[in-house]
Amino acid sequence: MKVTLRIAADYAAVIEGQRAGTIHIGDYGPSSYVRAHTVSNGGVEAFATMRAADGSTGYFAVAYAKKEAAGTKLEDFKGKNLCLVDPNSTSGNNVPLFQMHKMNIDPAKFFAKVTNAGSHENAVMAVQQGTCDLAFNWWNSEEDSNLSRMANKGMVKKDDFKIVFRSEKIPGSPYAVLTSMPADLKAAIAKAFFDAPTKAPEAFKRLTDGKSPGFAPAKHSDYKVTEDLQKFVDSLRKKGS
Amino acid sequence: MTLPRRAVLAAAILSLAAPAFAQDWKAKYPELVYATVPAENASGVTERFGPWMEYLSKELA
Repeated sequence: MKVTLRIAADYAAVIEGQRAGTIHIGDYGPSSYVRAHTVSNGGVEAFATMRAADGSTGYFAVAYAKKEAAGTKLEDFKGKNLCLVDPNSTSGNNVPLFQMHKMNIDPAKFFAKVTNAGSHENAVMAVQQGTCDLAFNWWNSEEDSNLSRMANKGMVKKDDFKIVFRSEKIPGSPYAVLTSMPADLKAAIAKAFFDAPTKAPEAFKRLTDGKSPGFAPAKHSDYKVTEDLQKFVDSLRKKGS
Repeated sequence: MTLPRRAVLAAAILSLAAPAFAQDWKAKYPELVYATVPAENASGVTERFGPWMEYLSKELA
């Protein structure tokens, strides 16, 4: 069976593809997964998440600023420009909004301008170029983050940036299959994922930059906390802020 | 002895049904589409996902 990669422009495209049944395996963030599960009435189910280097699961949202910027914490950046990532991004949008809400920060009032950069890399580049003073991004550990991966590719220097905010832990980004697929097909897909580090070490290393020992099993109930986060984000949207 | 006999019968039915079932899904799913939203921009994506797609295709063949 051929497995074809579809590069989606945003999470909305993956959600719609899974709802329509044309995407069989979706590579999600927790928030986009929960939304896919909701809009498809349970038509997608999480089965795996990637372990971090130390074997743990889950990750963080961080905010980067340029190293030389004045300020050491998020609260110091009043009146500056903020880059978020994508409205369906967990670490690049939802968790940042939820945590700022808990800190009594209303981004629309606190910052001069809030922009969706479109991707995690674009958000970092915006800080590099100065169009944003702060950018939210995903972060697994000091050794593995979008920033460290960009640095590995020579796009930026890691030391040009500093972290001025780190969120509470977010449940690991899930991979989800269509609930309607036959059980043995779903099991075969899950097995291929779990066997990857031993059966295809090179391909797996390329996928993860060698920063993960393998996949961990995941299930829908692991994302209850994300459903609560989603409710918060939806309530914000209803308020129109 | 009812339960074990039932279990044996169920296993026999399953083993008979399995090949037809497997072919069923292979006919229904000649191709699987795996979608991702890259954190990185285009050139890095092919590098990262190419070998992974090859592996999954081989494992699910």
